[in-house]
Amino acid sequence: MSVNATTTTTDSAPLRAAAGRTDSLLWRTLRDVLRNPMGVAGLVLVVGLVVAGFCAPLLTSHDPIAQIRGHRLEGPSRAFPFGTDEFSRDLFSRTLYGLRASLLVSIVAVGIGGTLGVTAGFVAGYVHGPVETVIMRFVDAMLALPGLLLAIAILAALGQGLENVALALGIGAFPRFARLGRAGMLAEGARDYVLAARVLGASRARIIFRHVAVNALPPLLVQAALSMAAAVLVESSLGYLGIGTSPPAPSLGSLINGARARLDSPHYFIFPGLALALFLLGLNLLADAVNEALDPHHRRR
Amino acid sequence: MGVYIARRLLSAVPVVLLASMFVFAILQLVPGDAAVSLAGPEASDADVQVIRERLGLDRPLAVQYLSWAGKAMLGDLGTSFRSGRPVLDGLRDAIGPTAELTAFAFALELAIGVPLGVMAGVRPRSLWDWGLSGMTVAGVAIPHFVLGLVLLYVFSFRAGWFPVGGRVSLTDNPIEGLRALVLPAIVLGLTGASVLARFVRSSVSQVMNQDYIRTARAKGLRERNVIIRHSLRNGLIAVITVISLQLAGLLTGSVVIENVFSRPGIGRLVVGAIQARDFPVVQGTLLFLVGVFILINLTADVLYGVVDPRIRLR
Repeated sequence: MSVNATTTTTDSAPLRAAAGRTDSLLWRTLRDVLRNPMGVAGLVLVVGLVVAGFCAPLLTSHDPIAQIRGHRLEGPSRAFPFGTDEFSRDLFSRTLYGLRASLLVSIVAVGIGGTLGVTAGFVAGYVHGPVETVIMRFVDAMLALPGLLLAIAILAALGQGLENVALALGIGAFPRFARLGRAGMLAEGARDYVLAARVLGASRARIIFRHVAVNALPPLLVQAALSMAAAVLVESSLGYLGIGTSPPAPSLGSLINGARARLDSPHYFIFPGLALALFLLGLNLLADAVNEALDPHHRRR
Repeated sequence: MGVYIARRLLSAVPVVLLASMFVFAILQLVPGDAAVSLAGPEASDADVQVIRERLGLDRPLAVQYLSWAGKAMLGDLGTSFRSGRPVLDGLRDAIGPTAELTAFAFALELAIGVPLGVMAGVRPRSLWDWGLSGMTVAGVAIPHFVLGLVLLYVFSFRAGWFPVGGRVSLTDNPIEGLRALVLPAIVLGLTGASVLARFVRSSVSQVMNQDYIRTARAKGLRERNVIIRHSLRNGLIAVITVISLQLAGLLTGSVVIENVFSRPGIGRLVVGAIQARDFPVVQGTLLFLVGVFILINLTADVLYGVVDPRIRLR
């Protein structure tokens, strides 16, 4: 399944003119998202699940890898809200810790891959010439491979493990950000304020990062949400295929993989599957809402 | 047209080179000395040396790449560490089942996606449109392997309508073959259909506002003919892009789905090979997949030129 990047065109000049300052553009975007019921739902889901994942130790008293004797493959109960698995481990804490692991890996990966991608894109869009051609050819080659296969190839070489999964996801996030970064730079670079900054003697780096970056930011936020969704999806798929993070540490994907052989205990895959689906749903709703808030055609006053 | 195709072919060359280098690099990226880690902890120095020479790891990198790529072009992808069989033989066995799954899923995707998209595009805010929105949301939120497990549980484990996995050859036993194919094809086809329908919808609704649609209506054509002859046909240009993306998506999806439904195929082959550290098979399979993806992109590029003559001039 592919998460499709449907972002706005970077040319939102009327919007920017109306907003005056860039921080107020971000502010207005947030306000628009909060006015959109779908946006609020997305925000609630994402924030709620991120908090649940990161507060896992506070929300559950069971160790996710501890085996609790005499409670093998039990359905949901008061003591074990999500039931237990075939090794008598608490599925509630395994789901929460699994979610935390997936989030951590994806945030780090998209953060680093995105930053590097945008920087490469900015540079390509600013300097033109052979540097641009080399960077963009490279990006095209990376885009020729679907994200999951790219990750599989990288993990095939480096072996399992959290760091390698993060690396694979980061490399997967890189090309789309590079494309958007370049597009943003091409759209913004031709504007008068860039010329003004150059006339005032600003350095290249200052122009790119202090002036253009701030204005090219909003479409990148949409991509960040979509890339997070893609990263979580790929991470959990790798976990499901058994080539992601190594057991017994829980990850949502490997958790659900364990359930494949235990179809007689549906609670085993329902709860982790639901956590995963709700998180992906939240990110996509959020991305749609930000996208809509940024698109002048869809703007409600 | 010939010039256009030649230009597209040329532009694919660097992509092929980069991608093949990347696949080649997999073995070089194995941490530490690949030969030592492949030989295992009990291997003697002589064993390691044998493996090193068999893989050609003792030769310069450029020589290794050129000889690997040269052999690959002639169809020699090396020998599997695990089975000792040529990689190409294993790949050949796996292509059939994967192609079968992809083809069925694709047919399903077109059968659902195109009509749904057209109806939603022609009648915005209708039941069709709402249904499509719901399907799209579900499609992006529910991963293949989760949907696969849910369907397996409900329709195979509980209802017993379909086998709980595996594959039966369609030529040997068409009925059992189809039964084993239904659920995996539905998982792949449904999620793909939601994406396809969304593109068809936006493409059609854009076309519906064009002047020639008004003209067609004004001259008294029946609405059905307006939609099929005028709207759908023009909307299809953008659909080529989506279909090429979707084919790649189906192929990737089948990697996961084959593992959910325990079906033999490319996905099972590559995942099993990674777990067994059977690098020639990993490289051969990935090289094949990359080749298919590049071919799909290239075909789409050429088709643009066929459908829209303006593109050829760019």
